[in-house]
Amino acid sequence: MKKIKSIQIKNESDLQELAEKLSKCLKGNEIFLLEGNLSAGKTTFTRYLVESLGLSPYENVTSPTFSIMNEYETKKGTVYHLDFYRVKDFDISDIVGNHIVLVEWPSEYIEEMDLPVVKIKFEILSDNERFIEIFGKNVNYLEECLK
Amino acid sequence: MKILGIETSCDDTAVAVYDDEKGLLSNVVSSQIKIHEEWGGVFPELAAREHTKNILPVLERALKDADVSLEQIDAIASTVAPGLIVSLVIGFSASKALAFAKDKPIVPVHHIEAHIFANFITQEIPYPFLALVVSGGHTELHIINEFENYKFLGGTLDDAVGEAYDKVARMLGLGYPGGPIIDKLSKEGKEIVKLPRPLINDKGKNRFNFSFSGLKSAVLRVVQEGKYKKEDIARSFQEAATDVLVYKTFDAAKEFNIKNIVVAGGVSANSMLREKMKERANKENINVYFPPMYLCTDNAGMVAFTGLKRFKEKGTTVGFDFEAKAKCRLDIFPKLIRPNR
Repeated sequence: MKKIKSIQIKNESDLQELAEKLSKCLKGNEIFLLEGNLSAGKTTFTRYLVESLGLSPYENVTSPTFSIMNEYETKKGTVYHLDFYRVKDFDISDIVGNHIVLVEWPSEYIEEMDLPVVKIKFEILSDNERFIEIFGKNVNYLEECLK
Repeated sequence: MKILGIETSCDDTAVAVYDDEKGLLSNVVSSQIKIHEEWGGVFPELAAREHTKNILPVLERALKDADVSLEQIDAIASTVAPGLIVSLVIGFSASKALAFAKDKPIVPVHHIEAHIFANFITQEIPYPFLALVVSGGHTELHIINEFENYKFLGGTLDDAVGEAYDKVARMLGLGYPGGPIIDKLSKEGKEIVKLPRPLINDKGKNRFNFSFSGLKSAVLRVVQEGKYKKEDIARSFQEAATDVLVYKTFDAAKEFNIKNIVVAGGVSANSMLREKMKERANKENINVYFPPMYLCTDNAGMVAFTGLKRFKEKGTTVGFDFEAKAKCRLDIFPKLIRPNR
């Protein structure tokens, strides 16, 4: 995958800013692969991204570790939030391609799908600081948009 | 009257039979915990495929244990929300198929509601009461004014408390599921680190929300420091997590002047949560209720019982066109199943 951007963030509001910026670049059919250790910020990033897509005020973005898949109604359509932390795999063929799909602890094969794929790696530097790398496939527009 | 209950909203395929005169006749759960253990916390099959494989053997066993035939069943109660949709539909489709084949009514049940009313299987609880529902996937606080009259007070903004238990257990290399392991280990430890009690100082109407992600991160930092014994970390975490649950529940009891509290869901089996709840309840002259251990985690007995209550008291049934829902907050559920009222 092609590296699009790397950024060191100082705190959660930097993460929010990044998520908001990204949300404005999306076409609505991207698959996000979120990689990083426990507490690296995968769910928090998802919350900010989904909120900036226009989440209904009665809804919350919560961890899908147990539920495996959460669905959120946003102004950009239904967003799917998955977590493979405790499952080896899960069939996502019905939802990819038409929706924004975010996957925590993703299986490797997803990267090979012929769809717009964005991989984000979160590395913990300290309590609040993170090093974030963004990679992309079939998402040339993102590079332009994030400049 | 006999009700068959079917529950497939998460990992477990469960079927039970409840008789309004004789009580729970059978309560079969095909727990996948064994598979988890073998694979070190990761189960190899898709949840839905497991349910498909389990549903008929579990049904057969539940009928056999209860010594009843499908013909003797008066209605089929089924969990229709909330949960993993591909899992929910397996149980609900099975319910529809049985209902169609044997010409029986289908009674819809909400998963959280079933956890709460499971308490009524062993004792009557006076209304209104507060319900704290705590498990791997849920952390919610409701006011139950009466059956089908619910008010949502708050829920987790990130991780459920049971999930925090599992992840802390994983950080400490303790295995799965984390709840009982940490509960046991923490009895040997001391609270050597004062961990954060997230959102405990919040004011205003949103103060009944929960957050456990920050606590999980704080534990990770302590683990990485490498200075402390596992049992002490487990104890410190357990003290913090249960403090939050107890504090917020009693804050709500005071705010709404409610004298009865029901704790439900898998984490209601936790011994420290039970002790702290009882201690505080004694002090404040409040009654606190816990389900018996066999009804704490996901099961279909609670679904059969809640379905029976709905069928007898409200007569509510749904048709074959009704669909299971991944998401539905408890207070909205009565409207979902009876849209015209």
